[in-house]
Amino acid sequence: MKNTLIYVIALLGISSFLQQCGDPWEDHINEGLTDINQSLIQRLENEAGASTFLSLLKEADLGVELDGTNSYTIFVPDNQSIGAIAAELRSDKGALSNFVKNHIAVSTHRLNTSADTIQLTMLNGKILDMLSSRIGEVSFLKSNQGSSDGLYHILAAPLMPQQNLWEYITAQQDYKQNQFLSSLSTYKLYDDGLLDSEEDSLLNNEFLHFVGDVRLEKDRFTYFVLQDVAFDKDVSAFLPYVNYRNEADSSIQISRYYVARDLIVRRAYNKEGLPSELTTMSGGKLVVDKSAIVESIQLSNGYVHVLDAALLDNTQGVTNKLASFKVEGEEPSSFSHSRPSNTFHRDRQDPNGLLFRDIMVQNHGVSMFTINYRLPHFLSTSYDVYWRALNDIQANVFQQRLRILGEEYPGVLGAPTRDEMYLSPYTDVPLMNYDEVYVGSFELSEFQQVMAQLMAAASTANGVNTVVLDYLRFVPKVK
Amino acid sequence: MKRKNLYGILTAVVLVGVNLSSCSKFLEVEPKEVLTEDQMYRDIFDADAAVIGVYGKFLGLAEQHVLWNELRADLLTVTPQADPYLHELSLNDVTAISANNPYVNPRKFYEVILTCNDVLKNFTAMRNENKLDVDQYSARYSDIMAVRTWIYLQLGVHFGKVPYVTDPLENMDEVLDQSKYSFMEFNQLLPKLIADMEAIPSKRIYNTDESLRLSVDGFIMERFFINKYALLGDLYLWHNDYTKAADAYKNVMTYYDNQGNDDWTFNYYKLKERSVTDNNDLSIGYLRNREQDVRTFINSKTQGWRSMFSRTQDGIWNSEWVWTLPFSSNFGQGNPFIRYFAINGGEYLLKPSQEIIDQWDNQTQWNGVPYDGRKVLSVADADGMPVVTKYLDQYTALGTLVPIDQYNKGGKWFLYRAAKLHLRFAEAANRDGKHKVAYALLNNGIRTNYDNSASSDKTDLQQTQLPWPYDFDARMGQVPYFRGVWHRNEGIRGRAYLRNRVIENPADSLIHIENYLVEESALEQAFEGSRWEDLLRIALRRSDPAYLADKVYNKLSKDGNPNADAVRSKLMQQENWYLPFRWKE
Repeated sequence: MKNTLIYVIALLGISSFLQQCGDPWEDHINEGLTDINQSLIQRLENEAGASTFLSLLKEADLGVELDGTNSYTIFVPDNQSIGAIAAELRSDKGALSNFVKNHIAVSTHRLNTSADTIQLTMLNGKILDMLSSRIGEVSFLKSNQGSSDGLYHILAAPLMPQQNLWEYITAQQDYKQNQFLSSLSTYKLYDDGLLDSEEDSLLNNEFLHFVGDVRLEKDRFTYFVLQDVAFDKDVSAFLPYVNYRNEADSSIQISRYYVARDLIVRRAYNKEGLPSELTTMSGGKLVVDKSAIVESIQLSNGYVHVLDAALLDNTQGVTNKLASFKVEGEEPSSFSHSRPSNTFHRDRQDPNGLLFRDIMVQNHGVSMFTINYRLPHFLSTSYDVYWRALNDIQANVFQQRLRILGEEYPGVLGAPTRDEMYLSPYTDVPLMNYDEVYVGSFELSEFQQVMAQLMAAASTANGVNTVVLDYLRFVPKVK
Repeated sequence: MKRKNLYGILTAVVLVGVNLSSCSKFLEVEPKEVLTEDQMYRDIFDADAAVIGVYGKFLGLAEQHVLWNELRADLLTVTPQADPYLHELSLNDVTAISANNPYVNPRKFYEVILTCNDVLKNFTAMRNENKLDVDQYSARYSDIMAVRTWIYLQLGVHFGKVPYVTDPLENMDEVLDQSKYSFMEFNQLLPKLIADMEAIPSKRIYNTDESLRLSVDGFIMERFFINKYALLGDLYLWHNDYTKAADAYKNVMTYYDNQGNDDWTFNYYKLKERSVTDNNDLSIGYLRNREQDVRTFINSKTQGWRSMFSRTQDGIWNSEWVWTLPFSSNFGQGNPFIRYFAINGGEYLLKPSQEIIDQWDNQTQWNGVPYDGRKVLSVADADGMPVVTKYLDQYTALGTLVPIDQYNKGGKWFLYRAAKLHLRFAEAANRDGKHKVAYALLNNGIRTNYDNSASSDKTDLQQTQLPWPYDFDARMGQVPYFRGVWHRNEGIRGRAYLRNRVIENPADSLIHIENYLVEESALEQAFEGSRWEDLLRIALRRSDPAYLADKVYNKLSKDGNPNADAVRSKLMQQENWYLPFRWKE
């Protein structure tokens, strides 16, 4: 009796501890049967529901031997669930091997009952998520069956090998949007001479290079593809914002790019789990009406949702898409004069307790000292610009101003030249002001790469010609 | 009866004789691998070997020392990788510590104590047989007695009551023999330990002509041995004998004065002012005239504050360290803290608590940088995971935190340094009514706090004008010319490039300054094994359990630990401040 009591107390202790640090322990509760005298294959041969998969496994070319030299985890779809597709698989060697490999992972992986995802790399390179007693979307019939060289689980359904997002885009060429993104591998969007990756020709593709490498199995994406009518509508709606050197063809391509690049999110959402508002990988806001989704496709690294409605045919849609752009003061491209010992990167705290780092150039002795910031492509629209500039270590108020220069071109004798697009008046930097300050607004008639210049006062006097900047923020406006 | 005995003896003699004839040579040879008792203590070199042997064993206490003093307190916490026993220590609910928690087992401590007892007995025997001269005996005996006393102080601090054993015992478990060694309460133990230390024949460090001062494997032995004055100061401070504590501490602070070496006099244990031109100092600093630029922050293993934990044993290192023991891969397993702290090459079991990060972030440096520079130099961020780097600087590279040589697991056990000495001296001085001395040492040093900048004649300025141990002469006058012994002192916060503490309520400056001192100790010495001592000492002195309970509560609640409230209310009872004394093989 006394002994029992001790055991009960001990069990209570263990269980309370398990609650704290969780899941690896909980797995031990789901202890399956382990027979270390039998190999994985021997055990499967005695498993009634595994015969179909086992025969497929024996026929497939795996590139590895299940001979006990390494341990594996096999996720075995139950006979019933693959009876219908077995014959079809047998007729295509490649598909068969891909299918079988999608059910095998190196090393032993026990059933994960927790809500924390465990990512398993299968033999075909695909990564499957195991969580909440499911792998992929499939549930387990029997789990944690051990042997001398690995584990197997019996699944209620097969794990069909899935395309990743890039495989989907290149394979599914019925949509203009996909055609366009594929074509970027050979078509150069801008004539800037950039983008020539020797190692990976696909990185010449602006979408893969600048937006995200959607070929990666370990990352997760949600991609929206517009049906052709909607896509064309959006492209022409956005065309005024991407007037590239007044060339219609190039502008259309860029518009296509801008429409497509804002249709991808760095997380996997199925249709049910889709939030009403998303932040795209290029920083824009995306509001999707679920009723516009006509088809959803699961991928190995995410989901595709096909939309039949245009997004930019209303002002709100365009407003959502126009993300503001911020450049940090302490990340300049160059300076008008080299003054390293007067250039300070400073750590500060705003009244809300948030830390920030800014740049200050003080006592540099140069009249109209300038810090240059090369910025990415700006849209052919008007912008409001704000700065945050903290004047906290001087006793006096000083002034600075902002200049925006247009895209660089070869000027007189081929010298690189930029035209002035905007010059703000000299603006006071008041003492101890942590607020964002409106600096001015300017309009660009063409889509181009601009440069921002922060300019000190026209004086060589210390304290007067100080420049300071936490960040510049550019807010594009709807036309 | 007698006859029977005689027969017995005869039989035995015959039997032995028979045996001898068959294997006489075997019996004549003494075993080579084992030293018999009389082979061990023959001359001074055996005595030295015994001393080093004690320190070798003592090194094995490093892990538990740091776990007890830091993990139980509020600055260090566990990562998800930590085992349940470490979780128990971090939670610090002593009623819920499992019976087989290896980290609370005091056995190792008693192993060293019993070794000390044995060595002390034999040293006395050697002295009686004239195998050691008076000076050799005094130095070694005092050293080992101080080590034993230090261990007892730790046991007292963490267990509250422990068996106080001064005999060498053959069988370790005799320690638990209640009939011989009853459990002694901490407040009874303290006077015993003070008496032990007051009675030692020498409180000085080993003389330079002593064989124990020869360098071993490149490690200079001057800082290898315990500092007896510092230990005595700690004992007095625990016992609330403030003047005596200040006296003992002051003996350490002035130990190197007036020995004919100006660097010793003005720098050693003085918390020397920063070297603005070249940053060859132990201060929080930036490149000169670029203090606004955080890119020039001195974060280096050879310059500035961080360097004290890994720089070579040069004069600057010597000016800070009072006692530290080296770990080396050449002996044993190397630095045991790598396992606890390192994220590469270790298991990353422990991490800084949010509480200490917040405390650092509440400071503002002189240049407006809104956090304590010591944060950046004590803790690194590895992809969002905070890592304690103090113990790793000899092992991993700055920035990447990757082992420089994964087989070279060097490092040190940081036991005592000048900043701790100053903080504890200030604690004693403050309680002894010398608030201004304490304030000056805590903030920006003696000189500025006792100055009148309007007067260029410093004859009567820049000094405390108090009797020993509160006499500090920090004069730095041009006409007339003065360079007082303390003129380079820049104070703990001065060295850390932080603004002075503000005493908002001068009427209550005692408690105010004491709180600041303990807080500064956290900022300066986080993870070095002083925190629980500090919290417990203050809580005992003030009879204020909330002082200690609130600190632990802050850690747990910021960690999101659901037991934070329950632990707080347990710690409001003094009996829950002490670990259970569980003796395990």
